[in-house]
Amino acid sequence: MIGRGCSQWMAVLAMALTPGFASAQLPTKVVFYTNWYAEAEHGGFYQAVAERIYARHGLDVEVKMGGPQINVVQLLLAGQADLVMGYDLQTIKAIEQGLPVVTVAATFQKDPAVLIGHPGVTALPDLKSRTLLIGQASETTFWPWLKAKYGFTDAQKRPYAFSVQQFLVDQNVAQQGYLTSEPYTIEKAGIKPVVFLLADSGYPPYAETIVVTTKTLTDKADMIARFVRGSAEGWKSYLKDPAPGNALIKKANPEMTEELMAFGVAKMKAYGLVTGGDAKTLGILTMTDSRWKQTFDFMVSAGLTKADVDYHKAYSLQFVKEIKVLP
Amino acid sequence: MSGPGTGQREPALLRAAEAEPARASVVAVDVRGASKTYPNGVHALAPIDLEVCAGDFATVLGPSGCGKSTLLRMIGGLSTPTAGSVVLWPQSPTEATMPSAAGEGGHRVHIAAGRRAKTELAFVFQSPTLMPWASVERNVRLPLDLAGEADDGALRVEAALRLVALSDFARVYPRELSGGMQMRASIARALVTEPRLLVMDEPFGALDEITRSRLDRDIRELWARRSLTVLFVTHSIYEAVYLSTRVLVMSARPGRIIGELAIGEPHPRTDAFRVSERYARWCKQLSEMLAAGSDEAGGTRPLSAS
Amino acid sequence: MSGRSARFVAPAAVGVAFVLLWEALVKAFDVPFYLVPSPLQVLSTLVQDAPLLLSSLLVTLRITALALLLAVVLGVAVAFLFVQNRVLETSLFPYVVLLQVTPIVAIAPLIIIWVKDPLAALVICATIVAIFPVISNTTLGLRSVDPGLADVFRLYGAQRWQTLIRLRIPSALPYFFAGLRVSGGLALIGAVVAEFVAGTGGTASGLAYQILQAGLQLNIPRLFAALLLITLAGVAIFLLVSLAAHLALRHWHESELSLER
Repeated sequence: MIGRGCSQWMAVLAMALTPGFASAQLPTKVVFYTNWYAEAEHGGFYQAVAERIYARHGLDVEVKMGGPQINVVQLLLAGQADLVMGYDLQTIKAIEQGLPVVTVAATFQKDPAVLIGHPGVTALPDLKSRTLLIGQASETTFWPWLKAKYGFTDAQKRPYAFSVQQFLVDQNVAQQGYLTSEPYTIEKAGIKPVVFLLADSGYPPYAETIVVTTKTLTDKADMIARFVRGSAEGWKSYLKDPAPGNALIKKANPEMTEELMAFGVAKMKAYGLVTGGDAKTLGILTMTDSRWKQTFDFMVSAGLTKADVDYHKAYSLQFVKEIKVLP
Repeated sequence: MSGPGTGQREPALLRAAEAEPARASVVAVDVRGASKTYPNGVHALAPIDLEVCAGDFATVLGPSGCGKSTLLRMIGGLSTPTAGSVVLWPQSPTEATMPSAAGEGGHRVHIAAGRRAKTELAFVFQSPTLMPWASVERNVRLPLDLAGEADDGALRVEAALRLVALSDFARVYPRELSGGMQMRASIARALVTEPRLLVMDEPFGALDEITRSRLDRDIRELWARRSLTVLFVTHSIYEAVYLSTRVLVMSARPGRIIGELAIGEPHPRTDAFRVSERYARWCKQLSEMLAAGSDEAGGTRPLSAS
Repeated sequence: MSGRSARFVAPAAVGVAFVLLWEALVKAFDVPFYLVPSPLQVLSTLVQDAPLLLSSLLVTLRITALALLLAVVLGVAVAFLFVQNRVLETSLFPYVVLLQVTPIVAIAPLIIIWVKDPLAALVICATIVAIFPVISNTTLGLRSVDPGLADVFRLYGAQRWQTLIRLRIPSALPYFFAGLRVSGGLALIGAVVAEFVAGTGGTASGLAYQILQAGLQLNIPRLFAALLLITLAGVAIFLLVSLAAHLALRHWHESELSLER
């Protein structure tokens, strides 16, 4: 405790001694929209707020929650947010239509999308004979690829109502989910589910990317750099000790439970979502050209986008190249 | 005239007057001691005794609210007397016209399967009560349709429309007709089943003077030509005198018959009759009777033709 | 201009004025297409995506039509039931009111879970939304019989079913159509909202799905084009029901007759 307070005073002192402190006295207000209600999957960002990491970088960050009907990229384009949490496939589609957006960092090196089956299912092809609950958004992300790769059909697909109830009552049902949430709910209901991380089967996109408008990229590059750095540090801190971030998460989303958050953190660590892959060597929140090419090729072959789209416009490595917060 | 609740009658007074040709004394409507008290306690009709004979044009004349409509509805079978009885054609009882015991009542119009619907009575209301969604022809045909006798319906409808001079308007909808024409359509509907008894409850009250007198003339014409028996209700003395062979005067509520006038004028009754001195005298007599009826509750002054 | 043609020209003129204003504002304020597309852009997108959008429109319309049919059949049946027996009506009507106030957004996902077939589930949702005006108005209409006419029917010894068919039903028609006018639009809304929340996806998807996907993929012109189609569908349904009402009532009911006679 004392140590904490001491380091805070140190930070203030450091800030005061930094040249340009007078002009930097007022922290820059930043609005960041996430893609869902507050959850452990957003932990690093909340931690960066809780631990005043953003503040140390001169940013006053307000983390706003997304939700089921909220289209955060539209909010970005309308000027209601400075940065938002997006995803690759959507960003490339945006570029295809000439929307001025660009990805500057990626939280999850692997997409946490999973398919969940009842005990007894050993591999993804086993699901060919089951009823699959697939959400509407997945129609244009992984479903076409699943159909092509594993021979699934539209006939076996039913709409996913974001409730595990159907799965629980019917042995023959498998459903999509997020690595860090549905398996928990299912386990709590007494069934040990079999979980397949789509990323491990070749699903290439990043997840929880940080997206800005091209205008922001031009005009406020410094702010973006500070935000990305602060977020990376926040994630490092969160994975060490999630308590401060969790407290903010619970405040924003009272329905959240400590158990679910703990489950989420455990899974993120176990599968190396934040710290695995390229992040190990290039730093948290990093991205690479080759991954983006993989994602673009994936989209073209799944018929999700046209081959002549200039996908390079969808991302910029300028920040992640400089910022190397190693896990 | 009977006193209240006594059930005694003086037959001489209740038959048609001498000026009319002698008719067979077939009784069309026989009301004995019928009264009506509503569940909420309103005493609408004091015990009534009345008799209408075949061939009569009997008019019930009384002030507003005296219970004429109530009486007519009881005779028509739309409501039942709380005491007394109402019987139609008592001398030739059918399933439809069985006498009703005290407290019961109501008799349905008799429809014999396979036979022409010759209803015992037809009712004409104060308003035309036509179905607005059907043409005049369909409206007039309604009683036949309900009886399941639409086979020669077209002919009978045509005949009925001719009687009321609406033949050109068969396809027209009620909204497109004037008040008088709608009322004529209503009469045509009443006549399509060739009823023996025609009951009319202030049918021309809502119409203008000219239309009214025309319809009065028409209905009298119909009565004479078709040998109908008509029971007519009005509060217009002039109409009563012009139309009727007998006028029964009712007192104010609770209504009772306080007098009767036999009008021995021959048919046809022309416009000249309407402006004659005799006519004025009949009217004066009736208005005196009416006035008496509103002074005291029930009078017992029977008045004769003189 | 005559009264008849004014009925079409006037609203059309308002529509054209609105579109011109929209175009002008978008140009004047240089609104980017990904926030508010111009009318021309929406129309060209509509033409471009016509195969996709029109087939989705058909799916949505099919659900709407089925739901409306079901709402009419069930609603009228319930209304008949209520008219037979006052006790039945008083005891069941509050639950019928439940149908009106149930937020379909909340129960659509549940219905999707219980009813396996997605299209059937959507039809059920849309029916729930559309049925109340039919029940309420038809019941009122069946009871709103001219007492004079009721007397006439009684006098001529009409049997119960004759009174029902020749008197109650025609009397109820204006009320029924009044309810149907509302239910038509509600069936469409129900179909769209239910699909939005619960979804179909893939081959047999309606306009709500297209709107959702267009939003996810940030294809804003297509989103607007789909919305435009829904609007046009709603207007078309209303006009159809009004036409039906006109045909049924034109001879006699005040609502269909002009004031001047």
